[in-house]
Amino acid sequence: MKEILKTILALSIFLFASPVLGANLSIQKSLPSNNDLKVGDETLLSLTMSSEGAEHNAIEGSLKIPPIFEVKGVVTGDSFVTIWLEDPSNFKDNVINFSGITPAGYNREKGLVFSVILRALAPGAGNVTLDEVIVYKNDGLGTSENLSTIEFPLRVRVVKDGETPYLIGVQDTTPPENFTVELIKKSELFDGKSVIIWNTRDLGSGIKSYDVFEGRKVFKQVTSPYVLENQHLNGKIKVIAYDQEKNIREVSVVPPGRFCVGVDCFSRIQIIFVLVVITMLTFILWRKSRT
Amino acid sequence: MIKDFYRIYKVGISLFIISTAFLGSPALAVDYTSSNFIVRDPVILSGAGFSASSSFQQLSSLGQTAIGESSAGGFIERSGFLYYSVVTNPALSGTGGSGQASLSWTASTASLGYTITAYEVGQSTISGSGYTFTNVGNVLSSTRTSLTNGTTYYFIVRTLDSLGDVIAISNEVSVTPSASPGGGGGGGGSGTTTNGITFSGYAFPLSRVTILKDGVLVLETIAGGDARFSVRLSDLSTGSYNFAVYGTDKDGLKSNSFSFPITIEEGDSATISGIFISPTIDVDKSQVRKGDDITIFGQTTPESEVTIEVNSETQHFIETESNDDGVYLYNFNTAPLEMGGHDTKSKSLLDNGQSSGYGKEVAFIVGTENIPKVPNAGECRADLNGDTRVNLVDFSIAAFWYKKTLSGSIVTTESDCLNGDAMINLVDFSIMAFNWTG
Repeated sequence: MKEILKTILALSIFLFASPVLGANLSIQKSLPSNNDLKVGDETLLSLTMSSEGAEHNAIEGSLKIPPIFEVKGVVTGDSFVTIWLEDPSNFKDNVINFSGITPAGYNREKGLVFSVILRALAPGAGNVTLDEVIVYKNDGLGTSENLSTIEFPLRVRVVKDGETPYLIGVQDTTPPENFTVELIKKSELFDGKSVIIWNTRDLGSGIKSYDVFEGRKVFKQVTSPYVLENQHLNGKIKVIAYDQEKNIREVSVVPPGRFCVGVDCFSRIQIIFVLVVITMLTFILWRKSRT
Repeated sequence: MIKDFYRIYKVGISLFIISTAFLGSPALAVDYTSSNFIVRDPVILSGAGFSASSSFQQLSSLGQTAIGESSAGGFIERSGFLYYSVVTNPALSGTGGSGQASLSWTASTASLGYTITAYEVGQSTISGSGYTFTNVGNVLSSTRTSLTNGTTYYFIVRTLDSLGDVIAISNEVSVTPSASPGGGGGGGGSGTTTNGITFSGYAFPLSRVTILKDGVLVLETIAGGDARFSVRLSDLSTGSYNFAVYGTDKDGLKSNSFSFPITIEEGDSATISGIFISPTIDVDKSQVRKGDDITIFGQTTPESEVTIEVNSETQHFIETESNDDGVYLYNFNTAPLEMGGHDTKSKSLLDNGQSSGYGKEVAFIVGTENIPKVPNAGECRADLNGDTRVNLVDFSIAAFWYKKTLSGSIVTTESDCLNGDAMINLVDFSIMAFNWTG
């Protein structure tokens, strides 16, 4: 199923490329395949970056959508950015801020930063604006390159009688990639509190959000690093990653001094206590049976 | 007699002074060297000739005041005696399909006269030789078709300049095309595959080779005594990944990461062979007294030709050879270097002509006294929690302080381990990404 979206993205990148105003960043209208947008239609824009031989490892910027559209979703699945500082999926209104890194560097032509699905709300014209874009070279010095602002024009017409809207379906039935949750506690970090950290990707629609379970308490839409509320670490800790299509990946972490996760299990001390009680009872019963 | 002798002596002295004034010896600049030639005592010319184009005029030669390049719309002036054009090797990766191989590579970059005009894909059924080349134009991917399923094919990519000359060669990859898995039940199609990728190539003898997938350490292996390694990563989902491979030498020095993107499709099985990890490098002094030797050393493949580049106003190239353990060491005399900061890097060449590409740069200062370099002193290099690794833990620590006012121990940590501007922003994360160990 994921292949459908991937194929669409891969093919459509070669269609309808906008003029490249920045040195190596561009916006493409991937879907629909024609330039006719009407009210109610959805369109898929892809933001791509070409390294042009140099290696880069970080990018940040802001994509501003004109008010004749609403942002229906952001797809980060095939992005070359593997760790987001500001995940574009967490857009607010019509502004999508993003920043992230590619550990060990990135060198590719027309690599996808992310795609955005827009829905046309009203007839008119407007520019999608990509600005404040800075990319960083993979040179260990944090050398930056400021890129020019890119404006991508879009026009929406009124709907004629009998026309149906063009809708983009994101089909993704694969859960996010498996990941590990690390529990750290150091006096000099996070005020000495216990913190869990994690990161994962979803190769289809992209990560939507994470929930953290501390025992029976749920903390919705949290981000890594997450300072645990229960600093006693006597409850089960679980992180659930959701992709844009609500597929989930669940990972638990074993707090120090505990045997198991997945079910409410006794702590090591509690189990030892129970074993001691059982042993004592057995011994008493054995003594009684002898006398 | 004595008077005559004195008169002759005075005339002689006058003639000598006059001749020195009018026929002064040419000013000689420092020698220029490369791996295979040396220009001794190049002469500085002061003014000669006249050049012009539609948008540029050069009235006289500027001589060797500084090397570099000036350009206008229709004219380029390259001053100085010699140029060392740098062309980067494309990094090739490939995946197999039914009867075909999909290849993609990173762009070569070139400067100072070289213009990249096209790439050639070389195909062979023998590793390291027997390639048949096809010019595929100035593109960064190619699909080779009409291949036999089950046969292993070896590919390289050559970069061509405007004259059609080969100026860079990629690593070799092997691909074994295979028929797509049969239908077998249909339905479902979760997009997962049990196939994977085999990584193989050269690191350093008995060194640790680390493979990162999207920044996460997924595999480690130990290279053999001949520096060869081969390791397989299985159970990959379909999708695009960024892989990086680096080596850690006997002294714990890390190489540059060899990174490349791979897109895995359903049923793909790929071999990324010909990975040649760049040499490690270090120096024995953080500051060296001008004229004294600085020792440049590191590790690479055994008995390889190692080129060490020392950068100053003039680049110096030194050739040396690694020993049986892959260790190389060169005592470089700093007399030709200017006072101030310099850096050095190295690359290695195998017998088959495959080059590793340059590795990390190491900085040193030419000054008035010798200061030994203490290994890893003051170089925490983005390792914020001091566990000798740079990974998600360090990222999380920095992310916690992202765009916040720093306080407490993070102030010192940022100063020591990142760029020291008393804030955490994307610059610091870029430094972290460069030093990432997974």
